[in-house]
Amino acid sequence: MAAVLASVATFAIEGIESHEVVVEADVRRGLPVFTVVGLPDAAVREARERVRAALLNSGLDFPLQRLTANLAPADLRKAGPSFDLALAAAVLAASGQVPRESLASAALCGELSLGGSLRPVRGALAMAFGARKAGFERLIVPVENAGEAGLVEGVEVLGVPDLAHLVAMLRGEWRADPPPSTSRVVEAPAEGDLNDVRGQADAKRALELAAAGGHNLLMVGPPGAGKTMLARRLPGLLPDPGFEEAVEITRVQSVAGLSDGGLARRRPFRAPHHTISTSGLVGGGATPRPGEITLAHRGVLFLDELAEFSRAALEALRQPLESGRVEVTRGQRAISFPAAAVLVGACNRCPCARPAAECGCTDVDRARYARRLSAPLLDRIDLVCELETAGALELVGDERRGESTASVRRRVVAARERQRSRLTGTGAFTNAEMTPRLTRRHARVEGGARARLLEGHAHGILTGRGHDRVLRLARTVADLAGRDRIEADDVEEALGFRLGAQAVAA
Amino acid sequence: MSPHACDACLRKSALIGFLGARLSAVLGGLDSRLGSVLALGEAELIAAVAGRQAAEARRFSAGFDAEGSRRSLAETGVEAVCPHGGAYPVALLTLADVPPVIYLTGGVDRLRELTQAPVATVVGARTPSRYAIEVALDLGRGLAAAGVTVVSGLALGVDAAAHRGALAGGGGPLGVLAGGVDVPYPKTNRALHSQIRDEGVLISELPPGLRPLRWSFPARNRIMAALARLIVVVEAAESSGTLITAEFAVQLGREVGAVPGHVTARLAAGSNRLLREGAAVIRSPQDALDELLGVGAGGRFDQTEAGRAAGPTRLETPPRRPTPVERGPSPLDALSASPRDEPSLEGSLRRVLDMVEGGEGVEAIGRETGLGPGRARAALGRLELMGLVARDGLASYVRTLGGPRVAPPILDDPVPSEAHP
Repeated sequence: MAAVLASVATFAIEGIESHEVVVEADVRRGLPVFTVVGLPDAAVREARERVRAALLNSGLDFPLQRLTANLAPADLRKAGPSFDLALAAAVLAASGQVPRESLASAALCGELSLGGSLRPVRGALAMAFGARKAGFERLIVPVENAGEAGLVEGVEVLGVPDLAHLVAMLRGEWRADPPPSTSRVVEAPAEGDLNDVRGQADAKRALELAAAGGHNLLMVGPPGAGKTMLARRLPGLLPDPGFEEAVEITRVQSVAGLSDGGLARRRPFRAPHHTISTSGLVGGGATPRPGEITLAHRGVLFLDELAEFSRAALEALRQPLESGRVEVTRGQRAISFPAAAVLVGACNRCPCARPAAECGCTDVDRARYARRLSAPLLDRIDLVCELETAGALELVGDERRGESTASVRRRVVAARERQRSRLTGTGAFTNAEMTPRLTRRHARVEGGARARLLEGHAHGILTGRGHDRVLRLARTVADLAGRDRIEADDVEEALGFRLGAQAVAA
Repeated sequence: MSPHACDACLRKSALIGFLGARLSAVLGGLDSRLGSVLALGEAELIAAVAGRQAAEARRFSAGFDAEGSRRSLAETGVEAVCPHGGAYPVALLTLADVPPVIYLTGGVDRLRELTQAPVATVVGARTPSRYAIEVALDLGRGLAAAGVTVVSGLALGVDAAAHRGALAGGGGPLGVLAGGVDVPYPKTNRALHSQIRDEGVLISELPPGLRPLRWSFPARNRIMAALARLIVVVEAAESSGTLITAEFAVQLGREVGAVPGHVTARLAAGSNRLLREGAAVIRSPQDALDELLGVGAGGRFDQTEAGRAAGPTRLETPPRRPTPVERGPSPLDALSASPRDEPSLEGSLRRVLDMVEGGEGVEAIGRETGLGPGRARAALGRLELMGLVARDGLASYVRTLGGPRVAPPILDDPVPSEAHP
């Protein structure tokens, strides 16, 4: 019997991109062995056992012949179990159990269980984008991934529960249900309301500014003052992600295995512990995986106890904060992750972390503590706010509830809308993203406001970079107030909220 | 070539330098025997401290080449004066252990000029509070502008702030080093060291090239105490090197003043104790000038509008003050602003400033003044522009003492300034 060859398409995930992989199966007479070649990792090599058991347990034949599967291109590293389904389909086609033409314009992905049922895989959304780009008509995925992959228009997504149904479908005996509707559910994420937090008006104002202009924020205050609680409420202050943004969020979550199978409806909030490694924070590893900054893409990255993070990890954040992307180079391949997150850092005001009245720290102690925060990182922080001890709040006994998330968000959304219409076509969406050139064009100051800035320079409290930071923040203050013109008051508030140059220099 | 130091004094000084390490071994750091040991003659000094190096030290002393030493001094640009030549600071002759040689940079004429003017020494903690730095800057600036020579020890913290203030006030500061005059110590003050070398005078009793030794810090303190008529302690914890300087000053019969600190502040415990024991209260350059030159000799603060407006509170000042016409313009008039004549502030700014002075945080300021967070920050921004408050560490604000801003004090390693994008 002559050799029988079949080829089936699938995708490998690299970063958050997918690359087409062709699985070729060759069946010929010989000793019954099953070999997989083409740079497979351990999980892919183990696919042989899963494919064999799944075929047999689904009442299908596993050819007792010499079987060779090749994953092309052979120089791309293939990792993980998502190749199982394509391998099984290639074997089925090569052994004549399904019509070969039924797989002609389709790509498949999925992990097999020994019983033949399909398990969901990571990165289904990225694979769907890849399938559309490569011109496939159909993408066959585990039924749990159908909702996510179905977000991509232009590719028919078929969700399959197990191998038996796959065969039935390929033989034209069964039809897959269309993927579940992906219409967005518009409901406020229940992450707690801003008015749960008493007092801390300064921090709340800073959060509002950070949300409105996309500015990175540093919260300074004693332990237990509510820094984490407040930071958790920032995603709720941000406008709901639009469809494009939601797809970006879902794509990252899908690759990281965090997707719940549909479109992400809320912005991510990530709060890694300070013992995290550099590659854990910005991404990396032998097979590059997204870091926390990427998982926080279009959302909030909260770093509590900022001074305790390793210096290398904090310095590695500088580039993603600047460009909104992480570039990881592995061998000759450069992989890029999206990383446009609002950074919220939190730290104590001095190493002893006691309230001002009991603090015994000298200026040198505090300068040393501030220097642990890494100047390049602080350079990317536009805003600083100060929190009071909870004790002080109880003594003051302000019983009034503050503003609710919904009411602050209305102002934020309006301010964002002003920015969007002003910055259309510039590549920036928020004031914080404005380049020096955009800053000069869109954050023009005249009269009193200009005089204030010049005063700042004359007194040596503003430098070149500090000047732009203050301008961008003043632009946000004016946007929140619904004004086109930046007033002197706006500049003064921006000066008041900016991180002192001394802290940056320290 | 300096004609001002004689052979014998140069030899004695070189011998002290030669025996520096032995002196450290014998005396350790602070030791009450320091003065009597340094006052010994050469033979006795060798016998007292040289130990096993005695023969070597005697050979060093016998083979000392004064001309060669002068030549190498001339090469390094360092001059030397001894009590037997001219230009030696007369005030140092009041010490029991007169330093045989004072090495200096900046020129003997400049040294003579600076030591003949009224001299005040400003000292304090190496790790002071922000408040102390502000006060030291202000004292240095105000005293220098009034023509007073400001002496300090080029240490970190208060010393550096006083020197910087003096430079900003247009005076030539006089820095006393614990090592050779050409050895910047601590290294982080390198920039300040070269600035004083260029604009003021640096002196030391140790020959050039020597690193400071344990005993040479208290030895330096006795020179700082002896040089000045008034020693101002800005901030000192208990059992600190600063208090040693004050102790020397008391023994030498110099005036001692101290700047009041919070009574609860550990950092100011030593300086507050000096006040309790009768040191003069120094709140401003004017207070220091009053102590140094007599009340009313060089003031200007009460000439200002704010001073007049302050009215009744000014009645406490002694009445025998000469009128401006009598005494002519004061050197302090050169100062553009002072804390006590700040511009009149509108109501809310005034309240915010008062609360910063009271040590309140931004949150409390926004709440108590009723301004709310945004406008409270704006008020602080405005006050910072006016030079009335400054950032303290990461988030807080402190009251500054106003006046033209001096470069912010560098507390530790200088960091390269950020580039303009």
